[in-house]
Amino acid sequence: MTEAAFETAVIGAGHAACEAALAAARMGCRTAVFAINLDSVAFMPCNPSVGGTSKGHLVREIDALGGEMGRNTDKTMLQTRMLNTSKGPAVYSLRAQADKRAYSAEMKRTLENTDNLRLIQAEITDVRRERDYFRLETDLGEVYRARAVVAAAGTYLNAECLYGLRRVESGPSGFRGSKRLRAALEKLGLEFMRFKTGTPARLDGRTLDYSRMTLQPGDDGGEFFSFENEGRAAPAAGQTPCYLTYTTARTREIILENLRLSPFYAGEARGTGARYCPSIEDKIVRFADKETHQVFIEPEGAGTNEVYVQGVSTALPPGVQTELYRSVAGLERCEITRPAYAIEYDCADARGLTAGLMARGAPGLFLAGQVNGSSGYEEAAAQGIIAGINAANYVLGREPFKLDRSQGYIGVLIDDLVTKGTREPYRMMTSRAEYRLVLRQDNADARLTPAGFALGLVSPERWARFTRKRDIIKEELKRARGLTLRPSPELNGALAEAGTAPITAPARLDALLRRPELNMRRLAPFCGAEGLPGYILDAVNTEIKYEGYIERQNEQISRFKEMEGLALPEGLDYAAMSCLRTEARQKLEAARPANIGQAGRISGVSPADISALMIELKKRR
Amino acid sequence: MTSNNDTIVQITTPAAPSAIGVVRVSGAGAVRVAQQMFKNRSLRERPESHRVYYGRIVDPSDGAELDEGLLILMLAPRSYTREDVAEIHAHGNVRLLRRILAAAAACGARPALAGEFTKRAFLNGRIDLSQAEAVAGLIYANSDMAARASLAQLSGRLREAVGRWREEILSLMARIELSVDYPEHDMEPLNLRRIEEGARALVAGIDEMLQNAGSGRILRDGVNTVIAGLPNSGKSSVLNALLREDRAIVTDAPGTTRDLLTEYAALGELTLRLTDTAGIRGGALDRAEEIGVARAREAFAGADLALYAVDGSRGLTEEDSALLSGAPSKCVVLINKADLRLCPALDGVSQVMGFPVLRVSAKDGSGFEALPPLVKSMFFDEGASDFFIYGERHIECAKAARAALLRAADGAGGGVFEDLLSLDLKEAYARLGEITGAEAGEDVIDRIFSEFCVGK
Repeated sequence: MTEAAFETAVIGAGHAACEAALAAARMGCRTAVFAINLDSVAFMPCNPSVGGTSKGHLVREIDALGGEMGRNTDKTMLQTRMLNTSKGPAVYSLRAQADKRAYSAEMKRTLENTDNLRLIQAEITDVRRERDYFRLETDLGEVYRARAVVAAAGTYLNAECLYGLRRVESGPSGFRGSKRLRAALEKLGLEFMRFKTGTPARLDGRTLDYSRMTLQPGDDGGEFFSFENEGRAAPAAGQTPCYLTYTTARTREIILENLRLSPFYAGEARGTGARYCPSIEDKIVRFADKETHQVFIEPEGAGTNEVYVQGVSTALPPGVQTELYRSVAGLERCEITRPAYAIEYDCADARGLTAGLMARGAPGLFLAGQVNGSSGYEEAAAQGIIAGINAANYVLGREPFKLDRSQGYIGVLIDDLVTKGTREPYRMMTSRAEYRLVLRQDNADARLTPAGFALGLVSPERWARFTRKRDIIKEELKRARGLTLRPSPELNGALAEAGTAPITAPARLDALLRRPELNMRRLAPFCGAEGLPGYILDAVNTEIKYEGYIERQNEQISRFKEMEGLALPEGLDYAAMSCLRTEARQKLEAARPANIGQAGRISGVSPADISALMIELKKRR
Repeated sequence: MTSNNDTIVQITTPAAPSAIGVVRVSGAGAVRVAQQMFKNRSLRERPESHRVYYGRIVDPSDGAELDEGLLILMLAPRSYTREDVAEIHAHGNVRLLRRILAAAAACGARPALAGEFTKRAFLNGRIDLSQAEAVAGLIYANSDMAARASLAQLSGRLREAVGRWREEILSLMARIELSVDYPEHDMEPLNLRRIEEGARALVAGIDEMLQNAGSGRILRDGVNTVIAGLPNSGKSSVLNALLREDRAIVTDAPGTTRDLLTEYAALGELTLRLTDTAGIRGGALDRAEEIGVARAREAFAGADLALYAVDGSRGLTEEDSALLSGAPSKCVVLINKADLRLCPALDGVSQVMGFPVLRVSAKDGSGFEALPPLVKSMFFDEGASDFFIYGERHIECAKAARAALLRAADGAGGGVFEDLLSLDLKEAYARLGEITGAEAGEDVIDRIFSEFCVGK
């Protein structure tokens, strides 16, 4: 039997796998995608949306690197909304309502039409190292070879769905799970944990009374995710809006009456759930004094009546679910199309990976996505593109590509996973990014497009567009910093309109911009910038208005870089370092951090241990 | 094996005559050193931790018996340094203790550098950074009050206060981060006033600590004191009287970094660091003298405290007034020679140029008993907060935290975006954490999830 040979094999076809496969193929590697079911490409088993706080940042960063998630969302979205616009430039977050079917179909089409890329429907049941390649075997006994492997198995490993006290062997949404891959990955040196997550029921949208809910429209003339679509307006709101409603006192009663039927409270659930994604059972029990909880109704797509019920994920048995959902205001007559369930699955401890997402014990094997203990489509895709890039780098004999915490949310995400590990499904949050004022979603291109271009993932046209934008911003910044505005009736009229004091003597533009009420868009007509697109004005505005804060953040970053620059030699024998506490010795020995900065972020390693380690290193030099 | 593990030895009691002197040995070779120089059979055959041995201390190089004494073994990790420690308790004779030290060195122990035991305790995780610094303060404390302040810090009073502030910052931060990460969560809108008030209250707390920072230095290093006065006003007899007051505690400056002319005198609970100012005088001067006088005047004006001696039989002169006009804000005028007939012009005078007056006789020491309470009241308010911040590192961190909190308060008052306020709060939180050496973790996120019902 002949074995088909690839340079990169990607196991899985979810959000991580798609980015990984596209990146590797676009970098020139012959790539195969193995999926248990090819109808599950880029499938969204939970909420029908992409982006949101901090996740929107990830999508923009993926896009800046030349990834697909942003473009694919832009092509298929129903509407967008920019969140947090009143809270500061660093936390603006774009979120799109996705059309699930369209998203999946469009991504599959992109994969199909990418050179070097093959889609194969097969369950990989074994992966093993043989000489300089990996041997992959399918459930039907087919054998393939690949120089590098990206395992992006999502929540499929030994997955079980919980409906009340019933446990069903299944992957998400009825797709078949994967039973043998975990053991193969374990043999390659990875350790596993068991996590759980859940999803609410889907309802027939025609059975809902929207008159009892609050309309939640998208933005008019909203933004797209991809920098390729910068300046264009996203689809208008209104066609497929979301709605806000609330649980009632009855909801609470139903939950409390039926708690013994919930696997979480009957002691049936074994996996660790996420605090940020509580079931309705958890919300009612843990926050007993809160009378009602928010519920958002979101469309699943333009071509279906089904809607998603954000806020009411549950693992109560389907028999109780109808009553439960009907207790929500406006849902009194609702019909369930798909019941809610919890899902338990095996995932790897990502502390066994490098910052390039390669398994430390098995060079050439990369892991990305929920299999690393993360949650969310965007977190998965972010790891996927890094794993795909590095699988290609590995095949091509190049250095791994890594992002640190000062370069992007992607860097924060991966560093958290591989350095600290996670004890619950890991969700990205803006609060996790310590340098977020410089890691904005609006400047993701400035931060990462040069890297994407160097990797060969950004087209020359896009690069030209990017450098043009970069140059204009630089030029405008220089001009704006030297500009003084003279008092005039028009200018003072605009100042009055903005609710700020008029000027009586010439004033520097940068001083005016520091007033909270003013921004570049408002002052553009007075400083010869009226012809510039809004995103250029915003970039200039942010750089000037928050200069002091940005400078302080840059100082923090240089301190951070200093620590990251203190490399720890690879063969360091922590166990023999008497200057370290026993716990620190063990933690360092297990984590083998690449530098002092990373060492300091390992839990169980104290600042005193770091001082001791630094003294130790100095002595050795 | 790292050199961290070599064995060190040092005399750990003050270099002054006392009943008992202690020589401490720490490191992997401590037991071996003890066995060689301390003659006790069960110690030789079966050394046990935390047991007191009685025996003879010998110099193993010539077998000479040095003293008889006690030995305590504290085996790792149950010791101050978390290494094997042997403490030899001998008689408190300085020359004898030096011979014991030399004997231990001959057995392979290296004389420890200043603070090295504490450094090892820190490196081995026995104490945290703030405790290490407090121990250094305790070792160098020159007075009772300093020792007490050090103990307060060691037992975690500083850590407690800083921990409380961090807790408050955390709750302000969690509120902002919640609103940023969960914009659609139903909650009352963020109250910027509350953030402003909270941040200002924290600034006030840090200010109080920083004010005490000066007191901390005075306690640790002593009150930098200049004795001044015209020639023959009795400066040197004042100095002698002060030194006589408590001879036993008078020491030379410990260490080599201090000015050799400096002398220490105990004044009640405080320690005075006395500097010679023989140079201050008026009249015709040559160039070299001018430079000396300028320096002396500078020292006089920059001192924490001036003791200005006036010859009571001669009265105040214009030259006295000229000199006193350059005095530091804390100055006591000592009208000396009160045992002789006072100049009538000084009768009933209680203040000179705003400075308090004491009548003393340096000759028989009378009148000096009023000096300690007077000086103490000049430096410490009655009932003032009794926690002190030591060390430049603490002060620097506290100042940075204060600046960040002030920015947050001003920002909240001036309508700055909440995200930016959060940056400043985060910085303050981190800087205060540096004082206690707290580990950076997911504090904010943990707080959000424990207090608010969020999530899809």
